[in-house]
Amino acid sequence: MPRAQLTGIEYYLPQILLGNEELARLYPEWPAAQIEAKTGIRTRHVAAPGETAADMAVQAAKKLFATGKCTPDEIDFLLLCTESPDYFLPPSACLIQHQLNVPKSAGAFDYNLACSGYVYGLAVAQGLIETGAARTVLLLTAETYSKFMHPLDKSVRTLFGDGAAATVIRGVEGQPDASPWIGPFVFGTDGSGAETLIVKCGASRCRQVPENAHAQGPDATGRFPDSYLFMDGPAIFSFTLKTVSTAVKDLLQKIDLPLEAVDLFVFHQANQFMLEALRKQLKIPRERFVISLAEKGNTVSSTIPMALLDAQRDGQLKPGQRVMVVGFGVGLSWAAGLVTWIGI
Amino acid sequence: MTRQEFLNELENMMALPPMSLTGKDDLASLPQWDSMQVLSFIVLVEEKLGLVVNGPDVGKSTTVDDLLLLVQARLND
Repeated sequence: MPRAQLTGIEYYLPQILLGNEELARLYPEWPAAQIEAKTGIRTRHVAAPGETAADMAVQAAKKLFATGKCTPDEIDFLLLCTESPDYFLPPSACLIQHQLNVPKSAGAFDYNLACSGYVYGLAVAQGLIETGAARTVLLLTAETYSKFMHPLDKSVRTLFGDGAAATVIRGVEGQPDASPWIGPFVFGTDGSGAETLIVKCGASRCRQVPENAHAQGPDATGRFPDSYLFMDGPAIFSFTLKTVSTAVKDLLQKIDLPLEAVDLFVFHQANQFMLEALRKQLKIPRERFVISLAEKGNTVSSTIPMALLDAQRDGQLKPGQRVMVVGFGVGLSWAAGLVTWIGI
Repeated sequence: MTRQEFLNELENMMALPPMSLTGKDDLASLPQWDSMQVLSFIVLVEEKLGLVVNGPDVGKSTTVDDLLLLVQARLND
């Protein structure tokens, strides 16, 4: 049986920058230093008008190909995690297959997840490879939340940045008895929390985007028009504190190892305040916990692959280490998994 | 943890002088109480008592006593 191995990551960030000084000019009640102190973020990247998540995913994939870690013709499955497809139909993954010259014999589909999406993608890629359905999977994550956010909504504009990542997962033969390089995983879903992080209008339940929504400010409760991203920060925060520690413990129980057996924890990079709360809750030493969002912000499904690559470049992540990746957010949805790092 | 100890923790969290909170304090009148303090309160309860209070309920609280009642309710769960 082939074993799945993560063999390459690259990422792409759009050129337009949004720094704390600019945000502080828009929201004088939040000085730039305070934004950085609370979020851990100095700069976010913003997709240009007309630049879509699929465009950014293509750029990330081209960067990956340029490293020589894989070529388009090797790919026999393409997965795209995004909530910002180019169209209702066709899937953006099909458009990307054509743009990247991935063979027509490859499978390709989009899946709609956000901050938990990378971990789900690794699990799907592992399943495709280890059942013999695919040999080389290109996992793309891409998001443009900037296009969902109301310009005046400081609670989300201070956090989210746009970006995309490309990861290649390959099947490697001849390791029948070795521990897996990818997995196991634990998952979780709680749709009762759907409305705590949502863009309500634009899809099938509410096709009509309210007129002049852009010009409207918040209502008396502070909520912006339904065509914009809504985040109930306190609800998401409580959800995260309740579920992430349980997921981490469940995964450790599944592999029958203590927390100390994990060399590095790479959580979804939501914001520094939340990451620190989770780190303290789980009693993870600072040196075994990655925080890597200062220059990018929360890029949704791409934060984990970006943080993995950054951690390797910074020397925090080394070959042979056992890494736990944990995603959580929109859905509500969460997942945790293990990756044995081979060095990429 | 006693009621007074909890009030002291809240004073510390909001950088208020010791013994300045009585419980009847109106949160809206405390300039320190903002959206970040809502999150800080959730973390404080988790750190001190290992309980996660419901975030939106914290946001809806109007007095310090409301916050204490939320914690009491979770302790009784």
